[in-house]
Amino acid sequence: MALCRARRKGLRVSTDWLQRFPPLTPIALRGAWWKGLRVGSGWLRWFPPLTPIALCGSWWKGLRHPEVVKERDLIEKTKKSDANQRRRAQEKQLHPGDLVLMKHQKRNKFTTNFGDTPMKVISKVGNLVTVKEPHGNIVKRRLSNNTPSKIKVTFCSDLEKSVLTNNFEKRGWQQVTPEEDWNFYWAGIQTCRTLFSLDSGYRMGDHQTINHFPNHYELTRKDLLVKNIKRYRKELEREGNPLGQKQNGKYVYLDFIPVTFVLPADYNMFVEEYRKNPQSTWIMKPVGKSQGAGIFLINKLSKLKRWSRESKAPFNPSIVKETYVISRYIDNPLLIGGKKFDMRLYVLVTTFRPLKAYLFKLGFCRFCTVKYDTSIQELDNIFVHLTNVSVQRHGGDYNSLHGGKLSVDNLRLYLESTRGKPVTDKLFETISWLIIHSLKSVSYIMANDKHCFECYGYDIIIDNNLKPWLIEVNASPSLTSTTVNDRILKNKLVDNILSVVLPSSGIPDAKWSKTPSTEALGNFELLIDDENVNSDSKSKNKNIKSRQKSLRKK
Amino acid sequence: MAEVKDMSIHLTAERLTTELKDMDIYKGFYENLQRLVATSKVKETDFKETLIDAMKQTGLETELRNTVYHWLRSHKNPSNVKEPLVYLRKAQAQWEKRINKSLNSMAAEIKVNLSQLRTPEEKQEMMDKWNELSVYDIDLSQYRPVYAPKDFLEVLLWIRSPNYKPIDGLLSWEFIHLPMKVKTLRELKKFYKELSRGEAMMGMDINGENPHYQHTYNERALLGERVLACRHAPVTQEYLKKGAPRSLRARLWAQVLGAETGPQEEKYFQGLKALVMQYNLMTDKLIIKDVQLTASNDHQYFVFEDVLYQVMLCFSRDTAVLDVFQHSCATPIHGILKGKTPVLENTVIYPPNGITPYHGFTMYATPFCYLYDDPIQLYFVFRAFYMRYWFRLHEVSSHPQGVLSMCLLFERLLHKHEPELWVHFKKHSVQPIRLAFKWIMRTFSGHLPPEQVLYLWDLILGYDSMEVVPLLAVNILSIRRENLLSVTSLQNFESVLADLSSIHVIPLLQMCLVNYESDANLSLSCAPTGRQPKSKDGNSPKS
Repeated sequence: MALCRARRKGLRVSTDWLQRFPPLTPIALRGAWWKGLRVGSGWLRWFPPLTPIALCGSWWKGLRHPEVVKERDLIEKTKKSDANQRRRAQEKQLHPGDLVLMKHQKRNKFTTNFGDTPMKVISKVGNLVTVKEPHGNIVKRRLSNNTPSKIKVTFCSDLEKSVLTNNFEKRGWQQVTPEEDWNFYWAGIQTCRTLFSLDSGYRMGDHQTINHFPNHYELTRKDLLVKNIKRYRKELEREGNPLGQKQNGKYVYLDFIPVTFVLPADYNMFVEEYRKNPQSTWIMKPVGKSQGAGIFLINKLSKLKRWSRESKAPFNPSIVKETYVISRYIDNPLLIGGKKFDMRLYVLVTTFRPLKAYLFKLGFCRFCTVKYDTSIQELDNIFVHLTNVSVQRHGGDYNSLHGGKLSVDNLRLYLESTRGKPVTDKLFETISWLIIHSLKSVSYIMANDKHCFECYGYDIIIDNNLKPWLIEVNASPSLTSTTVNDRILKNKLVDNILSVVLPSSGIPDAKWSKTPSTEALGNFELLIDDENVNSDSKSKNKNIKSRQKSLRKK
Repeated sequence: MAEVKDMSIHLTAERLTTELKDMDIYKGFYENLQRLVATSKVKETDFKETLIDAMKQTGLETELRNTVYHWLRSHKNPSNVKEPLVYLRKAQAQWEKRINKSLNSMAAEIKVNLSQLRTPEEKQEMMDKWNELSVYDIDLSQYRPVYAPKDFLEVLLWIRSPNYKPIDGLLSWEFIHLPMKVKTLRELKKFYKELSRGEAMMGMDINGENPHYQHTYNERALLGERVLACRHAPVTQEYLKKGAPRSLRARLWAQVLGAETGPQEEKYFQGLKALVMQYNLMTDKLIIKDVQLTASNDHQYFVFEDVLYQVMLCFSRDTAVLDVFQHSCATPIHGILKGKTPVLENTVIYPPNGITPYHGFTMYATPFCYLYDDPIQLYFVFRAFYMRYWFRLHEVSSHPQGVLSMCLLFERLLHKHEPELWVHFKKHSVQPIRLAFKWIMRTFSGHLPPEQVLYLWDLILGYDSMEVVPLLAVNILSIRRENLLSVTSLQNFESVLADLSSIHVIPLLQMCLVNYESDANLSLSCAPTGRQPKSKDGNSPKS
């Protein structure tokens, strides 16, 4: 309990500490933390005789040990003094191409290594190392016992996926457990929730990065996404922004999600909408589930009524609480080879305010294995309607060599050849457009933690008029590779994510401006950067404007 | 001399006029012409002039011109000499005998008839599933492809010229001994002069990085629209030399091949479909098996599986394909009707189009799926392509566009311009042709990404020659030289060359053709250094 409180103040309790001071009174601790002390295990090694009470007293008096600059410096230092032998051994293993930090000789011996820029080792003869400085100068430095130290970035991951660990290890990172000190955490949504929750009191340091935003569900939960987009449109309309323009009850520019209601809350609104168009089919999705679980189609109101009656049955009260969204089913999807598909695009967001988002160019289309058929008999055949790989995999016709996946490049080739370039260009522009606006709709609600980035999996369906519809956004798109090409693609995805979210030194840094160089982008292309409105994005704005014009003409 | 030339033109014209009258389009054309003559545009007093003017205005003239152009292209070689070299003729005959035998033995083994009528139920089932033949469930486990490119290569490698005596007694390592003339790189450079000039072309931008590419694209697209509007096939062919923009390619190809479709073609296709429904051939299963083995498992083409079944099945029933045997050295396989005496009236060609599908045959049709939504249009373009080029890729002949010439060209280029690789292959006794043969036989379809295949085929159409295929093959080997030199076995060579997804056809070909002799650099894909002395003969063109 007390410990918990101490944590809330920013204490990080390492296992070492607890082992050494089992009788530690939380009250004493509290005093110390109050003053802003943070203790890493190293601190204790330096001051072994220091009792917590003494600690408390000295901080109370405002006495600050000159060496206590930052917790991390201390850790770094102890690591050095502690494992001097080990480090020396490491130095000897320095190889050309390694990144090292050269400590400035003149600075006092307690300054940190961390602020310096890393340099590339070119060659090493004896203890004379030739390094390339960031400006390109090549200098020789003598290796003394404490000058260069190889930075070990530490990572931990909730997912044991080879695409992740391969990429981390490729960068020479070291795996640690979540309890230890990590720089980079590829976390599951659950872990993230616990980590960011108030109870945990965990505070991330400058050199830590995690792959989710605390309240990503504003974008990724089906009902909240709809709510946020509806609100965003209303706001724009109220402001009199041209984007919020309406025509025949429909938004001219922001009509990119199918009509959707949350059930049971919006039931009456749904019925009203349903009556306008009783022929259409609707799709029901449980809010909290993924991978196509619990999804079904309805075409009659009576079916919905029956469903709600059944789910309220006394012997199964748990279902009642579950919220569903009901959306108009896109019953005229674009078919290729007679089959329905949806697009999976990866969008990386490094910050929401200012909004910086990148689109991964190597998305893919997921095809159903069975011919598309809208007849009522086929309404319950999920293999016709749901494109999720996790669903299709169980169909008899699933082919494990290609997994029903076609690259977006090939889709583009097909569309340009059969439908022409202008409509294809417009389709892909509209897709970028809908991604940008879906992100903008949540940018002010999102907790813009500077330690976070997130890669979203956008699911988009194209109808046969080549209009894209946003179906949903996933917070943790699958990194499981079903085919060889899939593995290559996901490997590239993770690699490019890492190079975009990390500064060129390769060490997570929350203070970094998050403006990667064009080389670092890899297969990502910039979708939007609210901060650096340079010529590039200006031209994009121009495109958007011309698009608006062309739309208006229509 | 001029007289002789005049004479030959006259003869050709005579043949043309007689053959024109037998063509499908003749009736419609003649009717239109008569209707035109009846209008007031054509005057009796100045009949010839006004008629020609009127024809130009109504587009009948372009139609006539296109017809003559297509006729000339398909009659390039004299049809009376099928294959001048006796030993090649023999090899082809033996090869056909082998295919025939293996077809018959498979039929005997599985105990099915080569051909039989479908029962009404079967017919109905086929009808119902026509648009979704991937669910047409038949047991194919006993069927296996009649032959694969590898088998055909073995046949080619065993060809011996009776006039050639090897000094060391070693043979069958290469085709060098075949007495056929193939182009040198210098001749190729001259032939592909638009490529060699290094001008801006379609397919040049690699990752959309080149800012000028957009400009080139727009320019080409604009020009392409005009080319399409003039509806004249030779102009289209000229245009294709510099590549087609994605959005126009479908129409350009149909135009240059004379494969535009109308109600007549639709009817024809429906007729073929009816024939498929009517009887069941053993080759049908081979075709279905082949689609399953190739397109259905390919991550680039699996989407189009159902269309491919339709196209390939109809193709096997199309007797118009038999025309290729007039100028190919192959002869179709003949079967004798069951229970009839073996006389001429009772023999039929089997399968009806005379072409036995082999493993990978479907790949000739797959890239078209990216161009045409409509199976009918796809079918006619594919058929035209096949009848113009592909049929030469699986027959033994000395034709300069035949597969033997392609192999020989590949070897000569590699020998001359990549001697290091050549020696490396020889040292480890791997025939280089083994690495490239499947590329050549399928003209890279299924090996390169679809878009690159389309760019390559643009060039084939534009220059009306397949020589660009071996040239590209050599270039690919050349660009992977370092990796090839570091491994030693056939398996490893193959794995170095297995993934071609990073190859960009146009830049690679341009680099080789532009650089050759412009800086005396014999190595194919070396970047121009510019400082080396000029080649000795000094007359390097357009350096």
